Amino acid sequence: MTNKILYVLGIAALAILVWNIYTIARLPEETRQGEVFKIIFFHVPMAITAMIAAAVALIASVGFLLTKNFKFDALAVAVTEVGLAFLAGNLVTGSIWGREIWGIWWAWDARLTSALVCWLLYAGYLMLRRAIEEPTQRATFAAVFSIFAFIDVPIVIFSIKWWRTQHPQPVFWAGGSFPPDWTKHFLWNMLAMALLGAVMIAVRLRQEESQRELDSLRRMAHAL
Amino acid sequence: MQLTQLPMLLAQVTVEDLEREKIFLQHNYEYLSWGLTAAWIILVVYVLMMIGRQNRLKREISSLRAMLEEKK
Amino acid sequence: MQFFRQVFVVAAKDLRAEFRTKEAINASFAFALVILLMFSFAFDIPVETARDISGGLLWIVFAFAGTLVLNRSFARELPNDCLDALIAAPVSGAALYLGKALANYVLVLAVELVSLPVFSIFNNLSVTGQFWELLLVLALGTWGLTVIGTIFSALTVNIRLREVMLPMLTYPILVPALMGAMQLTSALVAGKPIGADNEAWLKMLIGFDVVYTAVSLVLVETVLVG
Repeated sequence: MTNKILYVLGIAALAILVWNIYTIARLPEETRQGEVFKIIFFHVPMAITAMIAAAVALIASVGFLLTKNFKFDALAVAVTEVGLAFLAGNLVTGSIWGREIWGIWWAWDARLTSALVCWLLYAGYLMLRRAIEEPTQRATFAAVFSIFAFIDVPIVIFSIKWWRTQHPQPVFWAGGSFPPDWTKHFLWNMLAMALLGAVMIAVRLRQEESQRELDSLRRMAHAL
Repeated sequence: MQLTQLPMLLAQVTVEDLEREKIFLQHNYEYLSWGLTAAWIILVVYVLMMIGRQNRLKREISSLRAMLEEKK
Repeated sequence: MQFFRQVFVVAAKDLRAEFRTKEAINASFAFALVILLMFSFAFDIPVETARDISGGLLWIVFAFAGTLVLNRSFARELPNDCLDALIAAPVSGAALYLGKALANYVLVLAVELVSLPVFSIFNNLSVTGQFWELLLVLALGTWGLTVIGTIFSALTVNIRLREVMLPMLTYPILVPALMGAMQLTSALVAGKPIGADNEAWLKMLIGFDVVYTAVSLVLVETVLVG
């Protein structure tokens, strides 16, 4: 039953995203950057989804350390992995945009660098998990690392901001150049992206459950 | 800007300028489509990875179950 | 008081063990020398350029060489199950951690203080212009390096691929601290004082040290006992 709901939600999210490609293609060009500006409809929702994922990973990690409940551990892995995929999408779309507008694929600018460092930190989290066999130890160490990584994110962002900034400032708030009638489309895309992320996390959580079942079956097989 | 200045400005625009602008706009479309494709590819690859893991888990669980049944 | 005595005992024990074998510090210093040599012939740099990038070069060397010391910190306790004995001893995890961090701090700082004149000679650079300020930056940056390095040394001691995992996990976390230390070192070697334009980095370094020392002290018990 829940499986069906998940699939329906996932398909709904994908449908909104596909439909949005069609609608944003028909929007007029942005005055200064032309068509390529529209990458923002994917670029920013992906970044926001990844940031939410990082925050949830922190909460789940603290939750695991406090309760030692493996559900929190499963949530932390699921959220980190999905967040990493979205952050990768954010980095790649940003890089392609940069090639057109700045003329270079990559600039060592504040946000790009901090996003890359975040990506490396959370990739390290997954590597660390792979290197530890024992489930309790794996969950504990991963949770500790996740807390360290999350604390690092704001420090990285601020320090690199002092270093240099080239990334365009946010275009949504007062004085920004984001066309007001585009906001509706943007919010739809944001919603769809977050929904897609949530569905992926739910699927990944079920996989963690199966993994635990598999582990217990293995133990039984050993005992026999 | 006064309307009388417009012909002067237009006279300054050369054919090359127009060409360059056209190429820039074409590029723009190309890069937008590349960007969208890349975003989609990443999502699809991740989903495929998840499906692969799902299949592996299912296979291993069912084979272990079968083995346990046999031993019983 | 008891706590600080325990910290001191653990630190003294680690330093004594290290100075008997000298395995980590020798390896670390030799490694630092090799990297400095490699830099010297990899980039044939004029003095002015060397001055501008000195912070970057030095801190890359320090981070690489420091990792060797930090890797040994907990791995040294593995033979004969010394680590289990240490954890079972009536010493709090925080004291054990702080003691080990202190010992590592002394060792890494020693390697740095020997590499610094070598760097200065290889690149014809004077680093003594603002020596005390430079020493302050070294002290702060190295504390950040050891705080993170020691807690992750404890974290990775029992896992596969320990030698690879430690730098993989620590370097991304160290990015802000290393960046601050690099900026300040370059400025100081170039003869600029610590003033309005780079004071923020000094504050950031101090903040990094304080935050991560506190977080490590809170979490170390979890890491060691599980």
